[in-house]
Amino acid sequence: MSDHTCGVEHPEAAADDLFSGYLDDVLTQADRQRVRVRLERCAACRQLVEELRTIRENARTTRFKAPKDALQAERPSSLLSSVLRSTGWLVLMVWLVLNIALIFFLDVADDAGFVRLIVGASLLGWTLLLTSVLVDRLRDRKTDRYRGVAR
Amino acid sequence: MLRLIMMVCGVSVQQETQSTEETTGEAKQASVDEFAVWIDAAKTGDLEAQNALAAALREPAFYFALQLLGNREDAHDITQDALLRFLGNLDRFESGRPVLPWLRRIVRNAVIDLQRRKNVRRADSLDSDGYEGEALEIVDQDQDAGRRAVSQERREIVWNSLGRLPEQHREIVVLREYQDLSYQEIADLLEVPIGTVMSRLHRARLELRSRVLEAVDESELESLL
Repeated sequence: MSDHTCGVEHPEAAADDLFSGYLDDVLTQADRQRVRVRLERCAACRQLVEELRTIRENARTTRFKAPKDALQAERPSSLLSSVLRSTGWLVLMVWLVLNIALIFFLDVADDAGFVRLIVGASLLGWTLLLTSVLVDRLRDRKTDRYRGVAR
Repeated sequence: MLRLIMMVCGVSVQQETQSTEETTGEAKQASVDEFAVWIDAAKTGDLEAQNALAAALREPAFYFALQLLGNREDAHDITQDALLRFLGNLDRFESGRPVLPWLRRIVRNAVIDLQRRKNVRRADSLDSDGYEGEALEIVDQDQDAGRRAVSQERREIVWNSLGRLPEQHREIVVLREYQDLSYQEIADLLEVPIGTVMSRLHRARLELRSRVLEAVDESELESLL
């Protein structure tokens, strides 16, 4: 079934279906030739084929967002790593507040104890966070025998 | 080190090896031999082999379901369902055969079951507003922001128009254009002759073209296409 008129009589109305086969290069040589003859005689047919080709290319170059489960591999996979990660973030937030206090109350910079507190909080916070990731990685390495299988 | 920091921050990091094939739904698959090893092990109840199969097939199943349904939430549900069916019917599968055709059949059947539950007749249009663009990822590498936006807009219009097709037409367009199956593979999956595939695909493409034209002014069509 055609949705256009060529102004030229074509005895094989079924040639319309061949346009898709022509587009996908799956026709026999005889059918391919029939389609070429028709395209040479019919500008509307040529335009139709080009439009279908362009829509096809837009479809084929479409990319899709990965399934959200892909995020799961990056989340804490055990209670221990969850606790470490949460505690680490909490300590870093305290560190941030201390740094803000340092900026607005510069006289505390003379207090060695305060400076030690800031440095210590930073070290502790990052250590907890990185340890939580290490715990997850060690757990994965121990339990996933297929991790090294190429995919 | 940067990746480690980002993981600590809970930020999902794109796999460095993720190829364009993966983002189009044709995930970089394990070889037939690797699948055969996993399947043979999984048949004996090996949980790690089952996990490996599920991990390898999750994305192909998801992308196919998403392309049929246009909805990420439903696609996630179908993916879970399909993987459970796949693992539950391994005894019926011969390990040396390609896995993806069988997976597609399972996903397709799961989609059909979902649509029946939602009381959507196969021959009818979903009477929807089409597929939403949120499922798409912007990956055009064109440095020109304007051209990138136009390219993305084109794809979104085609994607949206796909969602307006009747189910039978939408399915065959998905199989040919998004899944890149051959006519023979489509014929095998749908259990119809190749001639039927060609004629059905042509009608579906014509209707898709009509939907795209409805979405844009004809004067804009040349610039769009």
